[in-house]
Amino acid sequence: MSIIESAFLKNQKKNPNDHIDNNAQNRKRRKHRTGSQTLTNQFAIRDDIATMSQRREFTKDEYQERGLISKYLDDSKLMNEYRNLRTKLLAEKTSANFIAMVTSVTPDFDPTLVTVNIASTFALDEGKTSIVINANVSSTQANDIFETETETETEAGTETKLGLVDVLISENVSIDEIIYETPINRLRYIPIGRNPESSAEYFSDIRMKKTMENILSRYSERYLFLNAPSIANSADTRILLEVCDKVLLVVPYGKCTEDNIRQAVLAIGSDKLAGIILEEF
Amino acid sequence: MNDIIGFILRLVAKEALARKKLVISLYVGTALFFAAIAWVWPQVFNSAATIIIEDRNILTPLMKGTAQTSVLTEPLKLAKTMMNSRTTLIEVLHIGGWIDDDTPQAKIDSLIDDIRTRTVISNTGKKIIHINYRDRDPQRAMLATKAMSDIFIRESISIKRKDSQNAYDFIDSQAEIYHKKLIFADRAIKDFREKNVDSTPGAMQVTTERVLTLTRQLEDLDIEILGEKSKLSAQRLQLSGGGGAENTASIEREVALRTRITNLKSNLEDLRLTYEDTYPDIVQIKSQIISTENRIRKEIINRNLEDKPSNEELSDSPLAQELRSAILNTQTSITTLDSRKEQLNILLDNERKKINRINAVDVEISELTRESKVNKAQYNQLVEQRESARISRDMDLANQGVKARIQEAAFLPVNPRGITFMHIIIIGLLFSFAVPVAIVFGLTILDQKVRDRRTLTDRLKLPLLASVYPILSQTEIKQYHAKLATMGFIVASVWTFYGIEIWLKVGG
Repeated sequence: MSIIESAFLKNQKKNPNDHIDNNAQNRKRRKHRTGSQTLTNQFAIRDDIATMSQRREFTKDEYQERGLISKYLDDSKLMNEYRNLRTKLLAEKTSANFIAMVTSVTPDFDPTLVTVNIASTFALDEGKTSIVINANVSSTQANDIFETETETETEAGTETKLGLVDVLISENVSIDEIIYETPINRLRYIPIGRNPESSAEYFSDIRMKKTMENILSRYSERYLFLNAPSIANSADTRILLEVCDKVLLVVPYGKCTEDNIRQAVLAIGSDKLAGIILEEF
Repeated sequence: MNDIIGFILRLVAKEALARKKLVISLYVGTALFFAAIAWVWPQVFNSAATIIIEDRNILTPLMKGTAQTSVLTEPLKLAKTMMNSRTTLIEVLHIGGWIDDDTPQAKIDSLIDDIRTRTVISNTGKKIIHINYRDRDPQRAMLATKAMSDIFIRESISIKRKDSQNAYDFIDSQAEIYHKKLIFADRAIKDFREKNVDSTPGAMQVTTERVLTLTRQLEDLDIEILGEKSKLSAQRLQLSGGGGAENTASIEREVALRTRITNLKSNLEDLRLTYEDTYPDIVQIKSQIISTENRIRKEIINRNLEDKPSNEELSDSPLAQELRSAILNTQTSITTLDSRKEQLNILLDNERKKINRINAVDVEISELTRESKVNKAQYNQLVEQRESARISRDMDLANQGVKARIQEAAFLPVNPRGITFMHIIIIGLLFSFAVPVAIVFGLTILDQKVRDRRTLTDRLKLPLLASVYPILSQTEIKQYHAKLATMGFIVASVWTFYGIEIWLKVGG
């Protein structure tokens, strides 16, 4: 598999952000992956991921400025919390890799940073890669964190970068175009896109599910983290539930009551709820 | 337990930071509030006096049984009554220099109320009274306390004197009443006796003896009369004959004949043992018996016939004359005796009437005497009691009985008592921290938001994957430090403010 992928890599010079392959390849790979996975395979995957492009990485200060988990983090307690979280998620996974949605109990808490940190924790493992997908129309925090230029200068003026919604709307936009490299090793980012207002219509589309599977299947150790709006009042989030494998519910400290949590848990359903993350301060 | 305390501390720290504006304003507000209270809080000086009620002194055992020392039964009550007395308090106000003669009534009233609220009267046991008085002016505190304790002593002495004088007066009046009663009763006895002279003491016995004597005499007289009467009838019989000597000779003959018959019958029986009836001796004896019996019969007939004829030959005899004179004598004697008997009966009747009279008088006398005795006993007792009361009263007048004395005189207080400036300062320092913490903690509990991972795991039974917190950027750390520094600065400012206040109040 690694040979195929290496060959594939060489062919895909035009988009260094991510590998692209067709659906057939995906299916084949997934099929293979669900079978017995040998140690050799794991090493192969690791090599595979190691070859992902990485133009630059945040410095220690940059990590800290953005409140991000990194190998530089001194706070071992926090680090352990995230590592344990990762272990728990991996332990209960049903398929090899998964799409996890991170949503908050209350609308007044944006769980983007928690999503990015969870994704970072997965990406810390050299054998794993993660993608943060921003499905929250109102949040631009991810853009700030990853320093992704949301707007590009064109002749006609400024233009918002392509994102998730754009892939869903237009067949002309390829998945490669929306996956952006970030200054965090092995972590990729998909912004919301140019037409965020029509997101709800497209999230329920079959194309959404296909797109997600496509992104997920590029690496057998790729984990998707969907940064969703609060489950409390967002239709998007309820639709997105269909797409994801598991849901991580963020409970912000001192901002929600027990009833809020109960309702959120009820909305998610016990089969998809992976667990709670208590966001203290 | 430690978990909970730790959790609460973390919670309060977090919440305090989260609501730092509220916390700071509460802190500053509370601190300034207490600083202001401390500044205007009046200094209170406390003066106290202790009064001991002595109910035993050297006189008590000495005077035991003769005098009763009056007891202040409820000194606390007396003291409290005194404190409620307007007159007393006005006196205290005068002594303390609050008022003079021109002070308006309304002001006096409010001052009296003030004094009442500032005075505490308490007791230790029954015999020790404490008077506590507080005032802003130490000099006045002492004056008022002293005045109150002096008035208490004075009042207690006057009450005791009044008590013992009242007791004496009462007993004295009672004794007088009984004295009069006694005199009256004695006089009544005397009058009665005068009216009933017979019924002198012992009259009853004399009369009874006399009755006995008379009765005895009467009985003797009866016997004598009876003897005279039988004598009279015998003499009359003699005088009428019959009952004379012939009869006696006839009877004697008859008896001799009967004796002969008896002998003859005895011989006859002897002979019959040996002989037939036809034996001549027997026939002869039989005929002898018959002839003797005939003689007896004749004799009896003769005798009876001899009664009838009057003894003419006797009536003129000297014996008859003698008999007649004897009869006369006897009749005279009987008449005398009868008149004597009548006399005795009259006497006896009189004596009996007298006995009845004496009895009636005795009943009356004993009634009068009983009353007199009761009065006398009562009077004697009252006289004794009056003497005891007199001594008691004199003891109280000499102030020798139960004493109320000042054990600890009112003093001039030097240091203010109660809640002082420094107390409020310390309370202010503590409360300025406690109030924000308590309010923050209270708000945290009230808003019912989830803050504890245990709520999630234990109560909601949800899987907790992680408990994370944001990583602070350098800027945020600086901001955090700046916040801490600001808070520290505010605390330091407040403390400085307190320091200045203390310096101004105590040192300045």
